[in-house]
Amino acid sequence: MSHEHLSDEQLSAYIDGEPLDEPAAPDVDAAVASCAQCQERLAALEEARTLVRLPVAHISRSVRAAAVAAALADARSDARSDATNGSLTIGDARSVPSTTSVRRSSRWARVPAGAVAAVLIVVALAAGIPIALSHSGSRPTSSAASHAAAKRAATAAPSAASASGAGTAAALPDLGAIGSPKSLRSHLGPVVASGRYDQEFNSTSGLSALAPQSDSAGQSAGAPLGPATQSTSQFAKCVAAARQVAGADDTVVLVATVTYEHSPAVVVVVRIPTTSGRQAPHLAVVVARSDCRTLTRTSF
Amino acid sequence: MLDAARAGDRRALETLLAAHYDRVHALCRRMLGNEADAVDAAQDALLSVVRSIARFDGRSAFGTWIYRIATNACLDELRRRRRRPVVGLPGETDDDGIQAAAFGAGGRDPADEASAHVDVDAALRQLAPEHRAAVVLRDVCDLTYEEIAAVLDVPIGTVRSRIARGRGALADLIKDHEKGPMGQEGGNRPGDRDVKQGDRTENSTP
Repeated sequence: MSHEHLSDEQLSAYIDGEPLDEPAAPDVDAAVASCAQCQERLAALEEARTLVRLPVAHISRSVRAAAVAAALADARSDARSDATNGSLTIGDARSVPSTTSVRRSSRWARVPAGAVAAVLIVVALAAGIPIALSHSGSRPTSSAASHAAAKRAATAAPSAASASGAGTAAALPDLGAIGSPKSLRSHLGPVVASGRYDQEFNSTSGLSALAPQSDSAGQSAGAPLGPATQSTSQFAKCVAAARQVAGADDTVVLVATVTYEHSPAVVVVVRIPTTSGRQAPHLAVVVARSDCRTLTRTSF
Repeated sequence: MLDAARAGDRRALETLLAAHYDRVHALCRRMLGNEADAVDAAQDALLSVVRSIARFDGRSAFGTWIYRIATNACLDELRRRRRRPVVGLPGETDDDGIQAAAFGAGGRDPADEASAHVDVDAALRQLAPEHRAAVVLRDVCDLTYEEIAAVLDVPIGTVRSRIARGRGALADLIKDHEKGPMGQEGGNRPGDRDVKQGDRTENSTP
């Protein structure tokens, strides 16, 4: 462009209806009308603007509510922790991080499991979401034990859930060690395509049997209830969290354990209602079993 | 509502957060280019708001304030991403994962459906973070240049320049798209060659 043409800055501000901070601002209308090159550039910038303005994915009400509730619970637990350490409560200057962002790992590490679990499970139950979990007494009692159990199960991965239908964390299908979404998809594809677990995770007896004891004690119809353990609560929380992220209204077709990027994790696969031929039919959400944070999600 | 939230009314704060969540998420989605990081950054932003709401002095609009927090959360994440090694199996790229993860809680990103020829996230990844932030705040959040200046804490002239440079680069990417796939984040920026003309107010005074 020669110096006579309008600059990107002039054209961009013109598109936005913003004034130019120039002593002798050009008459952009006139300049564009008389210059084919400026017209072409203006159209290109408008196209770029249109591209960025395209909407992102719709956020469901349940996901929005869960995000807000988690933030409130998160901050509340932080405030309790700060109060214990001599700091003040939410919103006080001393409780605000020095940077606006809180490091994810440290933040989640501070969150008491019960706080987030309560929020997510309550949200899940309020939304009528079945929580897939088991109550066999053979489940591990710590994430390390879960990891070890998952490792053992991985030798026969993907192993089936227990024949009784009351699969434990260890007895759930285990996908072994996976390091990327692509690998996750390649592992999940055949398992989901087999349809082997589809009925199990969506049958009434299966889901109620898999509900956490603290939420459904005495209501289970098809499986013996073992003693509630911390591991059970944590696993239930993580499954509920994954379901929230995946879209609570979608149908669960698989719950499995996985070691994702060296972290013991649980993967929940839901079937996405198909509205067009291009839409991937399944969405998998992987959450860490230690703190239920989302490690990845992918569709296939 | 805002006063109630600042005074400690949790219901009011919950309503405020819910009202702004979608825009915050959209901002994070376009800034970070994938859904998983967007959800986490949006969550970080909400947490920061909850923790500091009582300190919000009202000199700026609440929306401007929350966008500032979210933008900073995204910029922090982009800085972390530069330092973080890619974990994956041989032959698997992070980009592949990002693309595969580009699905919202409710399904595929509509932008991917609508723009079959140009990947919005791949295009935005070509922009420097500060240019990306200015463009996204303008075109996703619909902020004025003055509001963007407040969010980014830079002069309006700098905002004007950054938006022009970002859009110019995107325009060139769209134009060049048929010549080859878009590259990695922070790679060559085809638009840079043509946006020098709009560069004069970068770091200038208002």
